[in-house]
Amino acid sequence: MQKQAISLFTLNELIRKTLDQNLSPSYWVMAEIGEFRDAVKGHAYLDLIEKTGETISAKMRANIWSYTYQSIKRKFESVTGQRIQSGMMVLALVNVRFHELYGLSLIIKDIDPNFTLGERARKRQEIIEKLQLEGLLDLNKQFVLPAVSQKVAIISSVTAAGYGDFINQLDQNGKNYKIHYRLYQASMQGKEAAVSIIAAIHEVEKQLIAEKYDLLVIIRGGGAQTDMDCFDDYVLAQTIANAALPVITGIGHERDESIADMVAHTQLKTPTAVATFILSGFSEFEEQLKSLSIRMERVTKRLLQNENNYLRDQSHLIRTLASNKLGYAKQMLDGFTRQTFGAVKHNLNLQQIRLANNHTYVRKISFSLLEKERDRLMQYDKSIKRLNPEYILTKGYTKTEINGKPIDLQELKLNDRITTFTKKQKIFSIIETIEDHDQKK
Amino acid sequence: MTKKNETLGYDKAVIRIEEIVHQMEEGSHSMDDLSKLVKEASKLIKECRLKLKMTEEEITKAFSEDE
Repeated sequence: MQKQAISLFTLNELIRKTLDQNLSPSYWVMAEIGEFRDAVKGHAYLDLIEKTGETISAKMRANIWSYTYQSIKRKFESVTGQRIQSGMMVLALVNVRFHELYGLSLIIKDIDPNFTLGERARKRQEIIEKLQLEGLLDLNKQFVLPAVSQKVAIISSVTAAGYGDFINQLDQNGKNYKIHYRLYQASMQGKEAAVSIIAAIHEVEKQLIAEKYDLLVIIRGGGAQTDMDCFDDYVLAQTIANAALPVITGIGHERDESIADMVAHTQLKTPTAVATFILSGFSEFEEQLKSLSIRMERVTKRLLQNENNYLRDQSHLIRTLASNKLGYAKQMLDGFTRQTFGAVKHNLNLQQIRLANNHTYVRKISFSLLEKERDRLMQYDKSIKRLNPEYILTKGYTKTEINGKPIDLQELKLNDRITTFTKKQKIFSIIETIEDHDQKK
Repeated sequence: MTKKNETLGYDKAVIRIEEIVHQMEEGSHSMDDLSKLVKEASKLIKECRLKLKMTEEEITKAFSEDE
């Protein structure tokens, strides 16, 4: 049997006609953008793919002609804030085209940006829920920010405008606050941004102990609003959440917060805002110190005043007490003096009286003694005069002796020689007779 | 005796006078002794009187000085 053969072109023509007859003019197709490149003439060439798990299960070349592409691009970017790029899920209105020479391809007529937006939101929500489930959303918020953050690790790009603003603000803070910072370079936009930032975070953590960082800030200037997807990356969010120090984000953007913002300790709109935030910590701390200092001064003043008052009162009390005591002692002394004086005076009076009495008595006694003595002498004088033999002889009496002794004291014998004394004469005689003589007879 | 009398104090002089009075009252002395005793006693009495007078003057003077 002779084989009926047709030319390749005829076959391709057949295929094209069959497709044209059987397919609708256009289809809305859900697919992921595989490779994507802008061509020089303003066209876009891309692959649409579909994955089952990580395996590509369908793939088709596609292109967007220049005129269409410009309008799709404008609309897409204005709605989603993103460029059309590889890895993005899109809902595209396509014509299926078969060209005899170039084969099968899809001509993209339109892309619905709302689908991409919703798709991204869904994916974002999935990540957020996962982070929530893993307890990572609030993990970094557990750090207590130091009152004053003086050591700051910065993840940014040195070329980013925001970085310059940030360090200018830190350096020229007007209050001479000294902030030590070090830049850890990372790509802050595009597909590599997430991986680059993660690597930078690991680098900071490696040097954390040596550098004693207080804070990690991730900053990026305003710039295009399109490349925000890197900040919704799950692994980046995970790394930020698990970071060994508090993370502050200042990723300039207008749209809703990124997932990186959500897991960070503190999120701020711009790098400048981050700088202001750090500096506000310094001013607050300074204010606190000032306030404490004022309070301390006030309290010290009050304490000093209290002590002064207390001392003054005590001093007053002591003076009063001492004065009272002195007064009392003086009164006592006066009393004693008066008493002593009185007693002495009384005693003196007594002594004077006694002396006067004694005086009189002694005088009286003295004269009386003298008188007595005179009397005695007078008596003796009288006795002597009375006994004086001359007194007797003068009266006419005589005194007779024998041998110098009175005759009445001797035994007389006849012929004894006697001597008789008269007033004027001494008579010698001899006893002739002796007779008794009694005058009383 | 006379010399001795000069040194006698008042009290001893008085004792001597008493002694003389006592001796004279006994009457056992001779005329000569008696005369001597009288003279001694009279002298002693005179001296004692003088002493009393001086003492009186001293006492009077002493009390008048006190007053």
